[in-house]
Amino acid sequence: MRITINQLVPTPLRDANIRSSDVWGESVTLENSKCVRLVAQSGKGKSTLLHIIYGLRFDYMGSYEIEQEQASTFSTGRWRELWTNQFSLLFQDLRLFQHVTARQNLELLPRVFQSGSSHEEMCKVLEIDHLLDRPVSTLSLGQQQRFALVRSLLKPFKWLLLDEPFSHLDDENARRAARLIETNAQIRNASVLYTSLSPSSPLPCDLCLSL
Amino acid sequence: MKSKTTGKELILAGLGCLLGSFLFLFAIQFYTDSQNIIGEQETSGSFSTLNKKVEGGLLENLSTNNKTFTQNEILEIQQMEGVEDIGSFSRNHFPVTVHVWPTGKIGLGAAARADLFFESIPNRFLDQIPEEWAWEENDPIVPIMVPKFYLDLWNFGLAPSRQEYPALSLESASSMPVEIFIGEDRSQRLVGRFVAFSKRINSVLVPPKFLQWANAQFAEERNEKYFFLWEGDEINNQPVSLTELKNLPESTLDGLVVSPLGDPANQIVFKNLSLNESDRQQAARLIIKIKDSYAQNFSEKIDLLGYETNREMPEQDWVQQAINMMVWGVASFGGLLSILSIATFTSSFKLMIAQSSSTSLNLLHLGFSQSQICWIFFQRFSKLFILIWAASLLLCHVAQKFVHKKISVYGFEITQGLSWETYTVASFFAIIYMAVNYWVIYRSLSPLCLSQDN
Repeated sequence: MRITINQLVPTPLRDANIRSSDVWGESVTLENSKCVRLVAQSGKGKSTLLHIIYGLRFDYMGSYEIEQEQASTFSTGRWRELWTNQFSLLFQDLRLFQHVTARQNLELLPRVFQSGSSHEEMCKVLEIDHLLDRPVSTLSLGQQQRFALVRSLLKPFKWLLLDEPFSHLDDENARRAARLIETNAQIRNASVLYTSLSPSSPLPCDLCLSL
Repeated sequence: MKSKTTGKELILAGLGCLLGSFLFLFAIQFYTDSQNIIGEQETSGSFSTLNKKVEGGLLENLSTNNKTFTQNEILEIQQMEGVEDIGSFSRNHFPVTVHVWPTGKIGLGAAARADLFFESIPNRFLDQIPEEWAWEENDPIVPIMVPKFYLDLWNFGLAPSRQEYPALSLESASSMPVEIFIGEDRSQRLVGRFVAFSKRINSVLVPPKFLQWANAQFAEERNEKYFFLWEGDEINNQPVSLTELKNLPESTLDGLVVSPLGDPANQIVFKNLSLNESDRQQAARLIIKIKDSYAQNFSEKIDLLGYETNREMPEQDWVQQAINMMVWGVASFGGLLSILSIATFTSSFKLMIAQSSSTSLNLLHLGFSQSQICWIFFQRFSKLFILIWAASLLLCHVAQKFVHKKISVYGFEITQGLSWETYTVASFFAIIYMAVNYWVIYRSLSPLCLSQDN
């Protein structure tokens, strides 16, 4: 699944200095089965780009195509199909349901990728399996981020969009998480687009773009 | 998906739904119970009595006495649409006077005295046939059946105005001895008893066998065997026997007008006399069973034929109409409350959905469809509704028991437990109510699902 960006500029950034950006106001093609890292400081539109690609924001100029179709022409049903089967997004604010347990959050998904690891196996890799039955509100941000990552990896996807996936993790946990991401992307032959504040990251990439 | 502020709205909607569904279902239950009671009181079909119209002035009627139905006329009525059965009233051919002894003992206290008549109809037209109704010759007691409202007239009309007449229950009225005096001179005396109080037939009935026997025994032939001869406008004072009349030369019989000894004003053309004699055996009143749906139509047709009808026990219709009105009223009020409760649920859902919009959007972005999110809200509603539904059925059951207890005092019996009609309507009500609410929730979610995030 290829994503082509054409002269895309988010409305909030139209007056900002975007001349040095590799993405804003440029034409960029994000190829299939690649890992793309977006590096930028805060306020440069990392989350905005992921949200635009995921179909959550429409306040932009320019255009982008998903599988050679103009995203602006997608119906609600088409977006819903993408959210269910093609895209998986790890939000920066995680968006876990706080009043239920971690397990309930993971088991809530309407559709799970059948050929991948189970949520127990993934949690074991990330060393959070003992926290599965605890309410999310009692977990630390790092623990919540790992559960949110597991939830995004449980879904079927062709593009995995990760918004600062290691921001609350220590180096060791970040490495474990990166390995899990790589493995799951390979199983699905999927692409990964992730954002990062720093150019160095435990998750190796094929393309690094600066915003 | 939790919201504290929608709690009050949900409770309000729940109470409205409970009251509405209870009233609606109880109306159905009440209707089926009342129909069963009416059905027990009245077999299917309506009953009418039929007689020929008596029209014109006194003089016109003096010379004609043909108010009985011929076999052809009966056959014609029998073949009319909707007529299920037909029977004729037989009447007594002797004077009857009765003395009713409300004290329960002949000679004790004051007797109510009245000149009366007896009629009989085939037993299949009676609404009740008590064991005592079977009468055999030489039986000491003559069973009598009078309309139930006679007893009401006694209790609420006669008894309050006469100190010597006590109010009577059904039981005490049944045990009153009735002296029956037959003949102008009351020479024959029999003893009878009211064995039943009919809610269908407006007449004083005795068993057909008794009436046949009594007519054979006591019919007063005297008045009809001797006749006055009319000469112009005047009666010849010397009565002539029927045998003498029959022996007169044929030529003198033409235009001969006679009148019975006991009824000198009743002018009869002699040649019609034999016909009138046989008419005495024919019915002047008929009882007809008509299918309910044809009752109105039948009445109109009968009117065209020049006959008169009297619906027997028309108060059954009255009761039916009153019940229908009450059921419609209660059911409509219940239905209205149910609709209003849906409106309250709607506003509650909208509020709940608005308050949990971020959660709903989160679910939507995780790949949940609108239907799946709707189902989450609907499950919460379903739990509440099933509880309300079961409670309304339970309330119906309790209310029915209460009604049963109240009406059993009056001798009415209803089947314990809710009827299958109530359960069927309750099931349809639940399906429709849940479907409407599912649709309402789905529609409430639509703006959220279409708006996307921004």
